[in-house]
Amino acid sequence: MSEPLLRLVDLIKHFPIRSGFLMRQVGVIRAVDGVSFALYPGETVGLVGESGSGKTTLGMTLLGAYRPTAGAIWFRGSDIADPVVRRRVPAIKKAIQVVFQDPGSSLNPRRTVRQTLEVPLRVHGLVHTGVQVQRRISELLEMVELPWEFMYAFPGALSGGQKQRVAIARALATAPAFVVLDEPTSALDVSVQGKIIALLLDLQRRLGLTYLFITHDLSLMRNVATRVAVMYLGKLAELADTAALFSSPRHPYTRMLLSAIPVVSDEEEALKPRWVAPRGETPSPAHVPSGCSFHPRCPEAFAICPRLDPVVAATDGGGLVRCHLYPGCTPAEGVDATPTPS
Amino acid sequence: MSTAVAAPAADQLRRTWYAFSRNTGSVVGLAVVVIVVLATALAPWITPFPRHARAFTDFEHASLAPARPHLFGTDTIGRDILTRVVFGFRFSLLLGVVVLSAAVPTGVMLGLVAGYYRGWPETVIMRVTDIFLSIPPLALALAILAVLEPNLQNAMLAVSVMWWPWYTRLVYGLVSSLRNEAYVQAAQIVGASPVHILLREILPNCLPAVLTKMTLDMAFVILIGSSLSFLGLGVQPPDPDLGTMVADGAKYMPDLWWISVFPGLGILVIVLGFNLLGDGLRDVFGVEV
Amino acid sequence: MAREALLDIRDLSVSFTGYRGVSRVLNGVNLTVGRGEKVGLVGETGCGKSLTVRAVLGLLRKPRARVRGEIWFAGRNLVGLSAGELQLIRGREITVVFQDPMAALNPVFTVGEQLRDVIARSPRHQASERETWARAVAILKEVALPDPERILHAYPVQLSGGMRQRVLIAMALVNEPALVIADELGTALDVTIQEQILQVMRSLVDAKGISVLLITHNLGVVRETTDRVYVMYAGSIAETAPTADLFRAPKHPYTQGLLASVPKLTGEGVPRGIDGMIPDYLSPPPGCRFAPRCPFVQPRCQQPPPWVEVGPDHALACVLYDGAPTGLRS
Repeated sequence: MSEPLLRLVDLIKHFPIRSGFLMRQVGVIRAVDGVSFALYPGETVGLVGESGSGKTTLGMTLLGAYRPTAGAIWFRGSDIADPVVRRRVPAIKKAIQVVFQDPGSSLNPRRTVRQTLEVPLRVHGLVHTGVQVQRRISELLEMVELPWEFMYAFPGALSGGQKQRVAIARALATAPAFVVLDEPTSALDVSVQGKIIALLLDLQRRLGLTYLFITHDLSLMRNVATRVAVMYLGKLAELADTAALFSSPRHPYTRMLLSAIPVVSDEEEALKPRWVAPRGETPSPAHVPSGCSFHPRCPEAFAICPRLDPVVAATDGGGLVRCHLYPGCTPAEGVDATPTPS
Repeated sequence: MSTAVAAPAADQLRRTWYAFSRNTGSVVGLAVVVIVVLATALAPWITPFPRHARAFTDFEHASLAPARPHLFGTDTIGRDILTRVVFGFRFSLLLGVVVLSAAVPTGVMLGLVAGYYRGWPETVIMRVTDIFLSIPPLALALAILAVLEPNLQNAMLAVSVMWWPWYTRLVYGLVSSLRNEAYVQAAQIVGASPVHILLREILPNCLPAVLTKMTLDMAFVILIGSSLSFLGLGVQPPDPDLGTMVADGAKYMPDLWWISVFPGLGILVIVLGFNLLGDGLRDVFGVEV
Repeated sequence: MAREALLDIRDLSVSFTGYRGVSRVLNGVNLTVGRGEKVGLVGETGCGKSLTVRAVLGLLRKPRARVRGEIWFAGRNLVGLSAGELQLIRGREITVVFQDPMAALNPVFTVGEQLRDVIARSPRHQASERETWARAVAILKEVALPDPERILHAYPVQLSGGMRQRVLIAMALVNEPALVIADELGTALDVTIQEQILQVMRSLVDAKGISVLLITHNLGVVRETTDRVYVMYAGSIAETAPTADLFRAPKHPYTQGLLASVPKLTGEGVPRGIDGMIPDYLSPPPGCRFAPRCPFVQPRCQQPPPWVEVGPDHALACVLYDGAPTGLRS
């Protein structure tokens, strides 16, 4: 494979829990707890997981909205985990953009489409005159297949799909290389979703974009992602090529997720893995279970699981997995894991 | 699609008016406010005895009970009460407008800064605000006017000083939640400056609440202004102020009841008008103030 | 499937008067739920699903809303009942499981207090405090909540999303109503929890013989949970069929389009969806309201579509199936 565009090295984002009069730290939320993987130019990595998995925190950290607790994010030769680097190199802000979940709230209701799209253009000095603004915004709206007259509309006058197109146009305004898509279609009707996805994939092809597609919709990822990463409680459970992940999921959590997807046809039902009855709920990332954090819900947990946290190992299929069932995942005891009496 | 784009602002306005006009109270409030504003603007032309608005004596017609041509009667030195009430509205409105134009921008700006920047700006601004809010408003105004010479300018100053913290607190609360809106995050990620975010993204979304509060506060400010005048600390004779007039007439109650009652009703009408209008705006904008 | 109808909505129309004029949102809805039957009502945002529910619950207020038609429930027409009479039916004979458990539970009361209030509303209410408590514990056990005693003493914020949803189901089922209306059940939850919730709901209503009307936009959930489905579009029923038939062989162009829009695990790429949008209810198209988006539109669609029976318990509103079978692929 080519050089990665973005490489996460042991990325950690912990939020302190403060309480009491003196706001003393009483605990920590392990939102992202040591995640490493790379994104290659032009691909779409699907990042799936349930609430509390840390997928959104991971995305926001890549965008610079949070300062990572530890770890590195390598992008074009610099570690953008460091906010100083981000501030010093304005090109980074331009190159990494986002499309949020709910276009109803990600567009300011009191600003016209033109006013919203003008901000990134002005901030990064991409336009200087009113004529340039007009022309560039028309271009952006054309890219997202909206008529130019929409620049004078307020978001309230647009449908959900049209709003999301405006949000996409805003992300594209700075000609980014990497776009975080944070559940971009989950607020939309399924009949509209397809056109937005088609637009995103078309833009990706034309502009050579790389996507991190955060979602909980596995069926959608089956059709969109190049590779899929599954997160559980701040850690990577499994990462694999899309087809491989769906045909032969390795991690028990992935299997549980896949078997719980509600599908609409018998053909799909046949593709689901052997039925794994889902049990329990994801614990709070403030109280992560010992050892492998999935062990209390895992149908295949065995003696070592509550004691020792597995490490990520490469699979023969070119993916990554983090489960004691697989060779290479069990660290030598006492070396880099603290056994807890159970 | 094209119809949805056409004149969105005008459509929004019509929609707002439709919702507003469904409530009788709001429409009555608006009508009262419009009538009072028009009456004060046209006072010299529509009042029967414009000369009576200032120093004027006519002992021949003093202390007349309400009857033509003095519909509200006359006071003890023969001035037409109706004329003086209409002119009195001028001082009430003037006080309200001046106080709010001083207090609102100050309060809003401080609230924006305190709500957006966490840390010491928040602590300093909000603690000072708390101190102001903990003093009863009338007591603070009285204290200020005890030091300064009692007149209209100083009354305005005193009321303004005690009014801005309400707006700081209102806006601070709004900003604290608006700063977490997705569109604010989106603007930050796109690289917009804090000034842009505060003034262009957040402030416009605070305005409905601020506007509603201003309308309701017109009523309060007028009431406080009248109270100060009643105590002799606001508008000074011979200028007609509703509070002063009520105070003057109080001595002759209940025999010459009209001297106090009509200015009192004047206060009631204007305060009620602004309150009804403010309530209507609150419902239409769906804001809490 | 000739079951006795528990809920029978006949030609229900609802219109609103707004500042731009009269919106005719519901346009002759016909829907029945048999005793013990689990029925799904699906459609896009704004198609009138929730409005139908609000009409059934008698939550539409005059003078803004105008309700015409009949809603027969257990032998009574709910349209025209007084607020007091409706109050007796709501919460006893018809209960609702809301979508957002956090919003539906009162944060300042414990689960036990809220459940006790619900039980107290039951017509079969026993006076004894101990019996009430025992029933509360029993129902929490039935929705598979571990440690019911502890949960009864907990406040809603102390519970996880899945637990709150189970508590809501418990509250809806504790008085053994005849009909439960579930609004987007579990779709706000993660799939592994959603699956467990649906399972609990299914087994409980089956055991107690309670009818269910499930309102959702999630076609997969409908397929897994219901016996029969109604597909709604722009204020009227487009198609109804036994669930298995509908998903195997959808007939109405809208149902076909909707099913085709769902991304599949088979990985054939993301479907394109349906062009266009739900019409403006102020001036909906004459005749078939789906016509402007329909790939098979024809001049006859200017007339209101006929209601055609195409199989056992399978009917739809579309001219394509009127009279002789056409060459349409389905």
